[in-house]
Amino acid sequence: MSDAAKKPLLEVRNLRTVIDTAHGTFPAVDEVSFVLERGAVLGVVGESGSGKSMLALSLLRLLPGKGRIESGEALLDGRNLRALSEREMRGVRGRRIGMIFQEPLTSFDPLYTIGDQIAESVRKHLGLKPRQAREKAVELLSTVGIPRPDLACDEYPFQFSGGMRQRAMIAMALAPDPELLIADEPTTALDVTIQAQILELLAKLQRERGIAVLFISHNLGVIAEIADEVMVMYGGQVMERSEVVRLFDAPAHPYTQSLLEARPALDRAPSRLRAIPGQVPSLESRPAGCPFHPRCGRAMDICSRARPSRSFLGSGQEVACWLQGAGNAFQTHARASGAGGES
Amino acid sequence: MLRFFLRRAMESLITIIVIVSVVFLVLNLSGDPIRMMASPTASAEEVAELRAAFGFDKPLVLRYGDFLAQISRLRFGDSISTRQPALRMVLQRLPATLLLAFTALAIATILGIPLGMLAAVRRGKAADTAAVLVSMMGQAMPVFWIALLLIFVFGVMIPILPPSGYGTFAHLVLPSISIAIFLLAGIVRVTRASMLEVLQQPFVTVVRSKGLEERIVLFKHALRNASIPVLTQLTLQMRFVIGGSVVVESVFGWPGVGQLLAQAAYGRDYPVVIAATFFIALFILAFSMMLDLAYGLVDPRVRIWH
Ligand SMILES: Nc1ncnc2c1ncn2[C@@H]1O[C@H](COP(=O)(O)OP(=O)(O)OP(=O)(O)O)[C@@H](O)[C@H]1O
Ligand code: SF4
Ligand SMILES: [Mg+2]
Repeated sequence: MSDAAKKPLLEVRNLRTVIDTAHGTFPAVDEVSFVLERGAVLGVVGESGSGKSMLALSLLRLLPGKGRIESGEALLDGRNLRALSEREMRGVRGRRIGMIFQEPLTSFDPLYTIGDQIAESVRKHLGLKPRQAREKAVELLSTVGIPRPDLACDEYPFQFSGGMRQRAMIAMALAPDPELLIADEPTTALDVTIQAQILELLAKLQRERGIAVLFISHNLGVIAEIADEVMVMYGGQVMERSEVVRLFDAPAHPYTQSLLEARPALDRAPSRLRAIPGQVPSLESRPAGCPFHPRCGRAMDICSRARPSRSFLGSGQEVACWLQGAGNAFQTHARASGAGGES
Repeated sequence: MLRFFLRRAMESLITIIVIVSVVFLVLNLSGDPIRMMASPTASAEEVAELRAAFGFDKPLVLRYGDFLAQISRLRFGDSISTRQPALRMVLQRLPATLLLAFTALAIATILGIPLGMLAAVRRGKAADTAAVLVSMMGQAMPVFWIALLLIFVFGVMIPILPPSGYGTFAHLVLPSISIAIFLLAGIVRVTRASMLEVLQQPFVTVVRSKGLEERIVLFKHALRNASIPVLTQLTLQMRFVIGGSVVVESVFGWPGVGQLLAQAAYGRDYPVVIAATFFIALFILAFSMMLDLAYGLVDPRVRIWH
């Protein structure tokens, strides 16, 4: 594996995921590219509907029925996940890439104990016997700070509080020792104090285990606490990607700037970032050109006509905006195939 | 759990008392069984004698009291037509009815649940469309019609099965299928719908995200969750199994409690009607208690909250 070790843990190239709707086929994830190194934390931020969850589910190849990856690739240790058989993919899910979901209540099967649900993936991926798997589950529950883990192990999800369930969810995702954890809004459904505790727990486990995390949130404040690097998404596209400090100090993209301005002064309440004027266009009515142009205060003529390409501003900052004076328009698939309502 | 069952047993007892009381009232208010028993030429004294022999000379309220006292000791009296103990007549026929009911139920669940699952997993595909169509047809056809159709096709046109009677396995086939078709249709419909709903739930994606096989997703997680509405459906359908068996037993000459009840009701054989009703009610209640137990086994929330 020395060869694989030199490659980044996850490299996504021009990933495009489309959804079939009654009105046609539209991209929910549009030409997304990024690199996630081992042990690093990449935050993904964007308003509701920007394609964050679709991106996460694309990586695991667990898209809902109407969604499919249309083009691009996702390389895990240099191995293209799209090329794996379904059986090989099952070996990646859980074992190499763990996932934490937003809703701790509905994320567990109500009919099985928490311990059983943790143990089932341990048994599959680590080949443990039921007894050992149970011990492992107890150990993990204690790691994530669940009191009296040996009793909690035999309890059902409905007997857990929301915060405890999310801790158990983390234990479940970490059980087979994945190298990459995808956390899709893991704190959004929780109340503020619990949010902070869960975030702290995740940050601690991430440091201790050196696990890489793709941390999805619509809350920049949350992202700031945990991420090394941030990717800002809008309309399925990456607007800006930058190291976290730099993003807050010198946001280069007008959308990032609006996000930062819309942030409540003391970032406490779970903000839905409503303060940006205008509305997020629905999947079916995304504008041509730069997806942000109808809401952008600095939009120019060209913004509505052509999609800006990525410009690299040094120290890893990457922006897709015509203000950066980048060269040619990005030739997107959408335009080539006539899909996506673009003309 | 024990308290839950004691409560259910109490409820069942009350239900049985109510049912037999209603039957008692209806029978007593709808005509005079002694008039029908006595020969048309019988003298007034002879009729009065008969009346006294069966206890029909007392006022209704007193008779009702006696009636409950007798029933509580499982004394149903003698049949007015055969003069045999009504209890024995019903008990003799009970095995045939249980055999028919459970065979039909077994056919319907063993086929219905996998078919419903298949339809849900293949949503919109040919297998699904076929299952939906068959289930709609099965529910639209009255059971006597299904029974007659089966007799016509398999007893007359292609005579491979006995069209009526009792005693061998072959005799069981057509009557049990007649009842099973209707049940099956309902089970397919409910299994399919509840499976589709469960497969939409976030925890299914979570199970998949752990890398578990589709077999585990479907059978361990989705099916168990989907089976809760199916149990409810079975509880609802039990009434139909009984109603259906009265019809089906009569059509196929199946010597069960249903057929006995139909004959007794027609002949105003009051003790037999009461005894048959009593056991049918008992059967339905025992069955629904079994299903309650099944709920508890399937769903820990039921088990722990009660
Ligand atoms: N099952 C689906 N069928 C059709 N469209 C969908 C489906 N799931 C998501 N979409 C659409 O895809 C786009 C991206 O959705 P996605 O869930 O990835 O957004 P998100 O960034 O995760 O938002 P949120 O913050 O609300 O979770 C949205 O426009 C959404 O309407
Ligand atoms: S490309 Fe144009 S519309 Fe888009 S963010 Fe930049 S300036 Fe605004
Ligand atoms: Mg989402």
